[in-house]
Amino acid sequence: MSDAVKRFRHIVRLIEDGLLAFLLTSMIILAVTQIVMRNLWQSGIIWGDPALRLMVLWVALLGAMVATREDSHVRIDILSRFLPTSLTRAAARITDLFSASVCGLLTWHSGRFVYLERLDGALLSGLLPAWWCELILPIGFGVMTLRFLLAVISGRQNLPIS
Amino acid sequence: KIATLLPDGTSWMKLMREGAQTIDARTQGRVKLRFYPGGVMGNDSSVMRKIRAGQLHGGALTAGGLAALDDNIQSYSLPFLFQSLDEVDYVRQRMDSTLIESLEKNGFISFGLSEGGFVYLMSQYAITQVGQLQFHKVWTPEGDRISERAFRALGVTPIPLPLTDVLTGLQTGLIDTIGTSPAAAIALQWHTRVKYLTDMPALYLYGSLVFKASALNSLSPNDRKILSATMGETIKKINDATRSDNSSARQALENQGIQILKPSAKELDEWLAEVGSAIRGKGNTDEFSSPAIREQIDKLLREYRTSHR
Amino acid sequence: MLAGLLLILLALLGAPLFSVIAASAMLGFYGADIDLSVVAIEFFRIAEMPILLAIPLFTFAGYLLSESQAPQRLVRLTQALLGWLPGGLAVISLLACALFTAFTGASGVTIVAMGALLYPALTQAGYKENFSLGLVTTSGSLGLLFAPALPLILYAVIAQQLGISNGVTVDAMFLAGILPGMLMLSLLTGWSIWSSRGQPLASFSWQKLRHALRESIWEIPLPLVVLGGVYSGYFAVSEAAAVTAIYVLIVEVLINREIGFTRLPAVMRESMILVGGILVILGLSLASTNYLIDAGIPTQLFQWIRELVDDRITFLILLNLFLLVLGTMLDIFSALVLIVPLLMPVAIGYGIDPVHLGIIFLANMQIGYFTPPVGMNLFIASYRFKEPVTRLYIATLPWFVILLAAVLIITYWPWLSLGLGS
Ligand code: NA
Ligand code: NA
Repeated sequence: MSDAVKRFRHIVRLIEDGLLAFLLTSMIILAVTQIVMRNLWQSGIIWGDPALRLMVLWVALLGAMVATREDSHVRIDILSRFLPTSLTRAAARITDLFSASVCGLLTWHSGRFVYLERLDGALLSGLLPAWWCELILPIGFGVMTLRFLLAVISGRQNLPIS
Repeated sequence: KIATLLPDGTSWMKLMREGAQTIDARTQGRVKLRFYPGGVMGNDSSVMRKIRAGQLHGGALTAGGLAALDDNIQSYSLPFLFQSLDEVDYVRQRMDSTLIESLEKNGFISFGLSEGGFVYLMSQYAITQVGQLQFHKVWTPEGDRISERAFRALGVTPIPLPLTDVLTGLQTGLIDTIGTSPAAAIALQWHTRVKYLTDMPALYLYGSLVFKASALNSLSPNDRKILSATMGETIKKINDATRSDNSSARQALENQGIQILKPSAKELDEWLAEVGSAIRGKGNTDEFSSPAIREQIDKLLREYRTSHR
Repeated sequence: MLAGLLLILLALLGAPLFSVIAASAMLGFYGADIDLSVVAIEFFRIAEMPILLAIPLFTFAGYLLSESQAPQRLVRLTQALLGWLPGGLAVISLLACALFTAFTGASGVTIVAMGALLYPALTQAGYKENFSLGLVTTSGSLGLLFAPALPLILYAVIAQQLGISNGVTVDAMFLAGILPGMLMLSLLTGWSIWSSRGQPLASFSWQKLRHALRESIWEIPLPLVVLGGVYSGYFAVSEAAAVTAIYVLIVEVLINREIGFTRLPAVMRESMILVGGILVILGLSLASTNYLIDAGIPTQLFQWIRELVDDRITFLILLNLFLLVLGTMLDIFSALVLIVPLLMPVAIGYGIDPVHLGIIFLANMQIGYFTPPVGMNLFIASYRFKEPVTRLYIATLPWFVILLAAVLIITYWPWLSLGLGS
């Protein structure tokens, strides 16, 4: 792997991890602020709860992107526990190719969904254009598609041991 | 395929299913309606998205949900617009068709609007004067910009919560004042957590069953006529049923010891003036509905009020 | 049909569960001629469910707790409290593991974090090795029925999506889990006390207790605040999660200083990987569930089963068998999203309360975790304690039999799950 590619992957990694930490921290702060405001000042931030729910969506997809990177998605790998190593490798390639195609389809259709929402011009809670908040769907599934494709081409670095 | 947030087993769903059976029989099975009640297809905005994507052909939505299609449809939603059901009837007889036509221009067909009832303030404390409200923790439905604006105009920062959290909110003291219809208060058990009802219609609730126009294009003119006639009748029946539901719910609230507080004429005028100047002042509501339609409604109300003095 | 079998094969070969669920939803919608962007619309509903906020917040708090010295302190505290009882240490281990699992949500974390502490302590105190191994392996799933365990929350979320029952709230599930969870704990406690007759007893020391109390002074209020807050209705569940997260963050990072600021981003990432993995499955299972509802499949399934099974008791027996087998093959989370949407309408048809069904489901899954031959916790324990899996089969057998009895009681005595709620 060339240095440029390595550096690029390193930067992507930093962005993902940084965003995850930032979102989680903001979630905690915002949620606690809401509780304090409600109990002490009988008020609340009007966009607070919708924003928190959107952050959950973003965390879900960013987390899933990183889970793809670190190969820690939930699996029911009963058969592969009993397969010899050579077959495990083949099975990993097949399932990664399958996942890449599924994520590719999800990217395409969520992209269409976001595009339609943009044409519709709806606002979320009357504040932000809905499609901005929905962009994470095609981005998340897109990155996952690429990662699964990469795994098909270069093989998984860390095959599950069990 | 029609979705709604209303749960199965409500009188709304029963009448709708009856209507669907009639249509099925009269079109010899050419037109079948399938219902997805109880929010299984998601909230109003999810239902709208699915209608657009073609999974659903229609939905029963509240005026607030329908506003995503066409602003004018929420013209009756302004706070303190109507003071009695007679006024509502007078205006609706003359204006419903205008609103429905406006919806149709945006590609959606409605066979009538159906009433949800008047929203009343219900609270753990006695509230009759507008000035009392600012000492309370008032709930506003999440994303309801009209109510939020109205409360802010009264100097209250409302606490936005989704419907599902209102009962807990009342229990924990997060909120102590809500606005809702008597029937909804009972259905959602909110009435167990309030003591007073301020007898003053604050807001008119309504909704409609809408179909995407293109979904009806494939029907023959005759089938369309049957659908339109039967649905029109059904909506009327639902309208009447809700009205009687609300009046018996109000009676039930009284029987359970909830005090009905009647604001004096002077107090009522204050509410109207305060909310009215903030919400219905020129330009303030343009983002909610068109000025032309609002003027028409105001004119009808003036007509009615002078003739029924 | 062929596509379905192919998907199952891919899942067994180790395809990520979310991709299998996504593929089945897309196949379904494609066959029904429905635009596939509906899958994205359903996925976006993650942003429309307020309760889901509890998942990242509780998970993060659980990860922080297990990264800190809190497990050690918890063991020392319970030891000081109950070490003088016959079988005291065993009972302590059960309680501590149950509490820990309720906060961190099963999935082997308890075995790794608590088992590592308790196993040596138990064997040093003279408990037999098989007994100790069985205990720590079993304890890995104990506590699933106590708030704020994630599976209870998820069951309520999934049930609400089906729209057939309004009673299945998170609060109702939290309440329903208490007595069945207590039953399991007390049966195992009885077994622990009985099988450790003749063990030497530790002496009770006020000094030790004072010391243990002092070092855990910051963590002691946590279960009280969270459980008290949720059960009394003072906090909404997501609020309790926010309070837990900020509290644990302050205690472990600022007060106890066991997790440095530089370590925080890594803990955040690790916990959010788990959250992402869970929520991406949930989001796509919303789509697959939506297809099932759209196609009216639960109703058809019910009619089909109704023809084969006509009474409730037979249905319950078959349900137990089915869930037991399922629990050994699927982890609790996959089982929830895949099976509950199909199972719940059928069970309601047989007059089973959906809240009771949830408890039956989770109790079965709980023993599935260590049901031989493939229960997941058996492998985790085998890996962690460097013992062959076959030894664990034998070690866990009595525990398995006792919990199976508890599951049967829970299944056929609905009051245990519903009594507190009514
Ligand atoms: Na893995
Ligand atoms: Na399992």
